[in-house]
Amino acid sequence: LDSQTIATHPEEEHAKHPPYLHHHFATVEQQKETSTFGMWLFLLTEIMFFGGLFCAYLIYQLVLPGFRRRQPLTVDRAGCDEYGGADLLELHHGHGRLLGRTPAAQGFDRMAAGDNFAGLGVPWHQGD
Amino acid sequence: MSTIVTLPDQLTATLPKRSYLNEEYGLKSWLLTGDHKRIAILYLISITFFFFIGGAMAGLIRLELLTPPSDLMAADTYNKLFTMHGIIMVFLFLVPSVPATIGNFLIPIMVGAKDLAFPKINLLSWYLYVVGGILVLAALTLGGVDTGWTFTTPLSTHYLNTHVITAGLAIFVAGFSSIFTGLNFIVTVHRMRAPGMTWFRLPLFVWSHYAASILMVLGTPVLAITLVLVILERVMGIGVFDPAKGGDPLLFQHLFWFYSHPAVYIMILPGMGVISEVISTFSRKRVFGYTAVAFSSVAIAVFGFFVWAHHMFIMGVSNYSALVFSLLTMLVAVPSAIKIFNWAATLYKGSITFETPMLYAFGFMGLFTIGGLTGVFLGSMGMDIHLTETYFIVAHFHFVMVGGMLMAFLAGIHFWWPKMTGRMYPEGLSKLAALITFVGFNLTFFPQFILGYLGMPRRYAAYPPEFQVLNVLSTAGATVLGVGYLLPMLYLVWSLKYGKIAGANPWQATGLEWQIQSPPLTENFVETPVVDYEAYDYEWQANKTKHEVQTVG
Repeated sequence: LDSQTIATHPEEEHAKHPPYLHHHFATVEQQKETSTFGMWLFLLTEIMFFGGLFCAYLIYQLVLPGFRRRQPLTVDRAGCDEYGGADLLELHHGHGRLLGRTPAAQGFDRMAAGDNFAGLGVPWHQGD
Repeated sequence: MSTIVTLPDQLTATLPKRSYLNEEYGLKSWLLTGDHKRIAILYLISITFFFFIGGAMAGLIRLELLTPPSDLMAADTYNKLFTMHGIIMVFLFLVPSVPATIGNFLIPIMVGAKDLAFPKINLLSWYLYVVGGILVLAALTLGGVDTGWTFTTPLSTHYLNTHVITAGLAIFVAGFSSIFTGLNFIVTVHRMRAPGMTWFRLPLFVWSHYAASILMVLGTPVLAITLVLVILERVMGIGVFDPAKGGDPLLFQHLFWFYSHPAVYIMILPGMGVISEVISTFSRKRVFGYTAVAFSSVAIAVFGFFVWAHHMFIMGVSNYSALVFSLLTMLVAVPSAIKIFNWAATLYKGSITFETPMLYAFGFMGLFTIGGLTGVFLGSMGMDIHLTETYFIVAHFHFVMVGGMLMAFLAGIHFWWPKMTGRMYPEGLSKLAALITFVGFNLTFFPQFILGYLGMPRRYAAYPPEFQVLNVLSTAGATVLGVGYLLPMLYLVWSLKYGKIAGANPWQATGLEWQIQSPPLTENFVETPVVDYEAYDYEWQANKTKHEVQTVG
């Protein structure tokens, strides 16, 4: 004899659900809400994953409004090595002072003076 | 001594005819399972395997430090040992310890659901964990890594020729396992609760897992991208962490600790959930200040995201940011203290009994408090500058991680073992193991506070002879601690075959998991439960037991 309460007919209970409804959901609505919620949450993790890229984009957009519309975008490879876009992150975090005036910071100085933007070969103009 | 353990008559008692353990047989049925309980068992076996590998490394570290010179192994081997010990223990044991095993097993049952929201993703998370674990073992067998578990740049990107990429990939993959577990928990708690299971009827175990899941979901992707950047820096020299190319090594510290400080709370919050359940059950009282304890978990999760720069006080961050982060670090102590005080208040005038889980919970309360308060020392800039990179730090985080989290894990395993397996372990031996663990732990790590205060730096294979006495004490303690960990491993395995039949509710506890058979059915509940009582309502439990009609057959 079993020592505690057990299921009387669990197999039937378990097999009751229709094929389009997973066994652990009570209703189709619950199933749909769950998958939608899960997908949004996963997208949130992706924002954290690619957050650096999004930040870089926002900073570019902030200092160079409409930079995406400049065509053609000719990238100076040598300049890119020296003043890579990742420097923006570094500047964003405000540690330029530790390293002296970093190449990126110098790029910003020149940018402010109307020179190329961060060595990317993109001419700097205020606004469009 | 009084006890609340109530077991069925052992002469007539048997395990239930049907349960998740005997629903299907064969290796394939386990490796392709969608059942959260079976996946929890898979995780339990995996993390135990890695715990003993990491533990063996800790043993070797302590053996090397028995004598002042670097005599047991070469200094760079020592570097690899402490690195692999850290990587294995943090990413392959502590992070998944409670959530992926006990949490996986219990959260659906505690909220009254048949399974987690996404069973296949749950299984995928275990496979990712295994792949991560295999990659760590590959890095280990190919020659190891010696960056420290923190992968500090530019050391990891420019100056080492060990298997940084393999280890980085391992953590990247294992990180996604953690993300999927957290995602599953959050969705389950939001969408799968049984009728009547309101947010404030949820056991505090669920609240703390919910808070930890927020950290897993938001923090782990940042670690993942950080490791990708380290790998890209090593492989392609992209320059993001390289000052010569306009990068900044400190950026790595910001990104790494943005995850790795919250990771401390990923590890400790689920442990706090276990302690809430255990303290309440063995003092027969509702947790004092239920709402405060529930929200303190969320507060720890939120504050946890704003303290990361306290790992960088000596790295040249500005005085102003150090000041702000110091203040924010102190703030985390508030919700942590709320929990400790409320557990203490729960004990007050409770009908306390001293079963094994309770002994571990007491151990947790004392050791975590010491670990937490020394964290406040380290959050103060003046003290931090003196103590950082010394053994004081090592002692501090081992008090939190081992004294806190591991004690909580063992409390949880002992508390829910009867539910998971349907059998009890030998009570006397388990109490002895809890005592040995507590003594061994203090002997191992308390001397390290003094060593650190006296200035012994961490991460060196050799040290001045005047530090030897305290190091010998620490190594002796590690031996005792090793026995304390081996014992549960042995008697728990023994109990699988020879343990007494536990019955559905040996502790007379109130949670939904204790209202179903042990071990549970695959679908957990025969009928969807309707919850019409508050959490930790022992009066409801007593009435229910009084009027219970047992159905047998």
